[in-house]
Amino acid sequence: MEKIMLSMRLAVLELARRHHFPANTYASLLHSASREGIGIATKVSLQQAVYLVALLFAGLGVIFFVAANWITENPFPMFFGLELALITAAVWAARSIRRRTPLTLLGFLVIGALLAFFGQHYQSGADLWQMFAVWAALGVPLALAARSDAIWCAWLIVAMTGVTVWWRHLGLWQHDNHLTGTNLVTFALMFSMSYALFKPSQRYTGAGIWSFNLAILCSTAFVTTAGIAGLFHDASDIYIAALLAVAYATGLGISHQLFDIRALSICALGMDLLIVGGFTKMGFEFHSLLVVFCISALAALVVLGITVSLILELYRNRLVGDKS
Amino acid sequence: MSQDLARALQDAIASGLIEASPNDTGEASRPWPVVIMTALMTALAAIPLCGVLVMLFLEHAQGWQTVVIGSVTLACAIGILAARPTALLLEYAAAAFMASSLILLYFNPLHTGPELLPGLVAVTSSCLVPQRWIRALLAAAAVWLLGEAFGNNMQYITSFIPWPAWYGSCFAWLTAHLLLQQTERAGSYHMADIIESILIGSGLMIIVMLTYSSGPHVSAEWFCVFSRMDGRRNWLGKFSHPSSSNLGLHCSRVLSVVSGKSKRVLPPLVAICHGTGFSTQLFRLAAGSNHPYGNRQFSVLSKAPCACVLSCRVVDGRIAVLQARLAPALQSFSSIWHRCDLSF
Repeated sequence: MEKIMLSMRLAVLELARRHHFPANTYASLLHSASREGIGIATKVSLQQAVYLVALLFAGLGVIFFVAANWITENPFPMFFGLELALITAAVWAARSIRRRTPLTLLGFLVIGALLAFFGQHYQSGADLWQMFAVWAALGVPLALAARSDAIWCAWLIVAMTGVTVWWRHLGLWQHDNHLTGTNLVTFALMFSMSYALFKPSQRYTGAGIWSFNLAILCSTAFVTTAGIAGLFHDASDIYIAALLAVAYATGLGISHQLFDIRALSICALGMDLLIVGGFTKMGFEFHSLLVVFCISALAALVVLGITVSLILELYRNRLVGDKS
Repeated sequence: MSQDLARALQDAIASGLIEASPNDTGEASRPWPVVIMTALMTALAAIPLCGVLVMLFLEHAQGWQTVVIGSVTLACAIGILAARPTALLLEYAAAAFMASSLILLYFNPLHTGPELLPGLVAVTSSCLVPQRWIRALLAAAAVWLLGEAFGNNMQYITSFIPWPAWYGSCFAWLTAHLLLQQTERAGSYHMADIIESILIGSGLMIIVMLTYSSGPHVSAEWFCVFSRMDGRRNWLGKFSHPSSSNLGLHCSRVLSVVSGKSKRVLPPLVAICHGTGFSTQLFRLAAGSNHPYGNRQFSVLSKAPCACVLSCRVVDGRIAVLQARLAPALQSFSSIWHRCDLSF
């Protein structure tokens, strides 16, 4: 497991300070330590990243274009243009290995534009979440074929938007104790999918650490927001469901195979926020603003201290385990 | 420790530079996700703490009372942090009190703008605390506050040079790199440690703010100054786009020269930030227009990818030729581009 440091230079400086390195030893060590990472970042990642951003904006531009022009008498030119763009992007992606990921991303975005234009022009009466669901479903083969982290990130955003809209559509956010189980299952499913799709099956999907962390971030943000909103709108069942789901995700993150310090920190932050929210809500029972402030500040600090201690302890144990 | 550092240490031991491999790099190796989580939770705790301080001491505060209470709180927090080893909970409490004292200092009666005082205090505090993660966060806060102070509120100073703050910060950041190299050469590692951790926080904030404020208006304001001096017309504003691009590129080259080892990473990084910032600005315009997506659809469709691909040329190293020989052509092209945008 690689150690994620705040700065390589700081670590070398710390070593130099402890062991009283002479300046030339320090310079050699710093040069040697920073050589490899720079080479990799410059040669491979940055070019790809820029082309990816370029075609991301091109794809979003297509979506904006469709959004601005969907009131039209004759839909044929628009359908033709979008389908042509999709086929061109897909064929080009299949032929060009170097530009496969950016072109696949363009294709994925054009699929969304095509579905949106279809839905707007023919007014099929479908719900919004269905468009996102179909978009995500159609994007799966593309993502599997491209085997790229970036495509999985885009797919995730679409899929998570679909889930959020679906959740709102079903009215699960409303206060109803019968729905606690449904909420809990929904939240837990989001986390389970995040772990199942991206961590153990990375070999098959081609997804990487960015998409995995994005999945966890999206799930945690959604569940935490829903939980806190539920708490302050007298829907404590949603809060309990959210708290249990985030605790479940944190538990999964602690397990050896799924351990990732970024994902664990995100889940822990979500859990901390929910706990602090709970204490703050409890503080309002005392009808004194000073008490509310004191309780929430104290809760935030105590919860933070405990969480960070546990995470750091776990992290060090993992490092020691990996070394041995 | 990271694989690169471990490999470097092995090389150093093999070549006799050091005798044995150290096991740990201490606080420097604290994972950054944990630092970010800590920062967010500390900020969350700072808000109610600020409320507690106000309700206890400042319910009917006037004038300098907030500054006095803020300063006392800050001094106590620094004192706790300086007394090492500090318990983790105490460290977080002190960090939260520091944040709340900066919030209190914001409500000062100075006429120079509320951000200046907490900004200066944050700079000073970042040099005084021994914890690297707090130093980095304070430096980020200081850069943001000072940038806002100089950019928005000190009109009497900046009336001739609007938006100098982020360029000024960038220049200070570059100069600090020279200072860092000097201290490293002199073997004063403690000082280098302080400078490096401050540079991490401030550098990140400068990149974020440059990206946020880049795009069509990143240098338009500079040219408005000359137009204002001219007193009649805003014709120089037409060159805002090309100047923006060129400024970004020149900055990247300066960065590459100054910051030694980062020669190969910084130019493309700055170029990417610049391109992305440019595109982000276009999106902001698109979202903010009266007819969402309508007025700027062509901007996003055509210009944003172009900006990114242009940035990619920098990564290839080909822009160096373009920059040296075809700068006037680029300027003309960009001016036409700007005019086209107006016609859309």
